[in-house]
Amino acid sequence: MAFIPNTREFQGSQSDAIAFDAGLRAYMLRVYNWMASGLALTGIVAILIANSSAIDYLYRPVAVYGGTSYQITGLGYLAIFAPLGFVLLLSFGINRLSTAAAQAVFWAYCAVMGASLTSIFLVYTDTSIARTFFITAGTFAAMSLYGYTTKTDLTKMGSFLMMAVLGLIIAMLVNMVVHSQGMDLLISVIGVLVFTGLTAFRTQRIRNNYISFAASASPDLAAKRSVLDALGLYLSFVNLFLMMLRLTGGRRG
Amino acid sequence: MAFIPDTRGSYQGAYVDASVIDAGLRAYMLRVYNWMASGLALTGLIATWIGNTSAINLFYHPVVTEAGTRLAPTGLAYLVMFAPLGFVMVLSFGVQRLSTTAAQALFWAFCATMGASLANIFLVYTGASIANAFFITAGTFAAMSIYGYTTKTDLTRFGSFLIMALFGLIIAMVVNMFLHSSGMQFVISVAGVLIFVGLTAYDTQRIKADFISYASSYSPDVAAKRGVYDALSLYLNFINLFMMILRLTGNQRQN
Repeated sequence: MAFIPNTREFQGSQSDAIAFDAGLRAYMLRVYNWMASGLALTGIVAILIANSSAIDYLYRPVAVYGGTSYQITGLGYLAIFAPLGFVLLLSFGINRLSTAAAQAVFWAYCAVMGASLTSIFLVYTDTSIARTFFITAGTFAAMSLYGYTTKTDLTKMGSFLMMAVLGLIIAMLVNMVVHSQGMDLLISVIGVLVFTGLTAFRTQRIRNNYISFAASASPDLAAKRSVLDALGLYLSFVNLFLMMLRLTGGRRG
Repeated sequence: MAFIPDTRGSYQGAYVDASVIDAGLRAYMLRVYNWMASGLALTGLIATWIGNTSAINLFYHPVVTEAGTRLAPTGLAYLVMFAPLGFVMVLSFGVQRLSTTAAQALFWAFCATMGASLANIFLVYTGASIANAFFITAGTFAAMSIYGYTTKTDLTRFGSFLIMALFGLIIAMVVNMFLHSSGMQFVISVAGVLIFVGLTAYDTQRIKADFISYASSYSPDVAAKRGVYDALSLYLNFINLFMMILRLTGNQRQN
C-alpha cells in the first residue's frame, strides 16, 4: 500500500483510501467485539457467583457494630488482585505471547474480574445494578462514537484527564480518612465525568494508533493489538459503571 | 541547531551540540525539580499550619454520633478538596492562552489549596508518623526519579501497563468502599506504592525524552511554561505516593 504510515490524515489515492477505511472499520469492530464479549463474560461470572453459594468462598459475612461487614477470604483476595497479574502478563508479554495466548489471558482476566465484582451484589439490589449497567452502556456508546468521529484532537484532554485521575485518587484516599458522604458523592460525580472523557480519548487514540501502525503491522500483530485496545476500553467501562453505581445504585434494605 | 528533533534518547549531532543539549537538559530538569520541591514545601507548610492551629476548625467540625465523635467537613473543606481539580483543568486547557506568569501563579494556588485539603491527615495521624512517611516518600521518589533519568531501558510500555494497573487499583478502591475490609486496604496501599513508584520513574523519563525531542523548537518562554506542567505531574505522583505510604506506615492518634 502506498500511504504514509506516520500521518494522521490519510494521503493516498482514492481506492487506497476506501480499502484503508474498510480496514479501520473492521479493526474497530473487532476491538468492540472483544470488549463486549469480555464484559458479557464478566457479567455472567459475577451473576453466577452472586446467586449461588459460591460467594461464600469469596466473602464471609461477619457481624460488626452497626450492621454486617464482609470478610474477604484468601480466594477473595486472589480474585481481586489476579486481574493485576493478568494485565502485567499482557503488557509485558505482548511480543512473546502468541495471539491465541493473549486472547486466552484476556478471557481469564475478564472471568476473574467477574469474581471480584460479584461483591456489588452483596451491597446493591439487582434491579439497580441492571439499570446502572444500561445507563453505563448508553453513555459509553455515545462517548466512544464521539471520540471516533470528532475532528477535535483530544490528546490534551487526555493528559488533563490523567492528572484528574491522580487528583481523584488523592481525594479518595483523603476521604478514607474523613469518611464524608457528601465527599463520596462528589467523588462519584467527578469520577463519572473523568471516565466519560477517558472513553472518548481512548477511542480516538485507538483509531489514531491504527492509522499509524496499520501499514507496517502483520495481521497477527493487529489481532494481538486489538486485544490490548479492548482491555483499555473494558477498564474504562468498568470504572464508569462502578462510579455510576455509587451514584444511582439502590442499597439492599 | 543541527540536531534531529525526533530521536529519543540517542542523540546524533556533533559533539559540541551534544554538550549544549546536555547542559540545557540538566538546566531544564533542575528547574522542574525546583518547582516541584517548592510546591511541595508550600503544600507542607500550609497543611502543617492549618493542621496544628485552630484554623482547622474552619474546615472540620466534630459531630457526635452513636459510634463516637467524627469530623464533618464544612463547605470550605469541600471547596479546598475540589479546587485543585479546577486549577488542573484551567492549567490543562489554557496552556496556549495562559502567560508563563499566569501558569506559575496557578501552580502556586494549586499547591496552596492542596495543603489546605491535606491538613486533615494531622487529625488522624501523629505528627511524627507523618514526618516519617514524608522522608520515606522523599527518599523513594528521589531514587526512582534518578533511575528514570539515567536508565537506558525504554519505559514506555511499562508506563502503559502502570496506567492500566492504576485503573484496576481504582476499581479495587471503589469495591472496597462497599466492603470496608482492612486487609484489602492494606493490599491496595501496597499495590498503590508500587504503581506510583513506577510512575515516578516513567514520568521522569518521559519529561526527559520530551525535552530532547522538542527543545530545539521551544522559545525560552514555552520551556518555562512546560517546566511548570512537568513539575505538576511529578508533584501529583509524589502526593499519591506519600498518601499510600502514610496509610501503610502512619500511626493513628489515640483520642
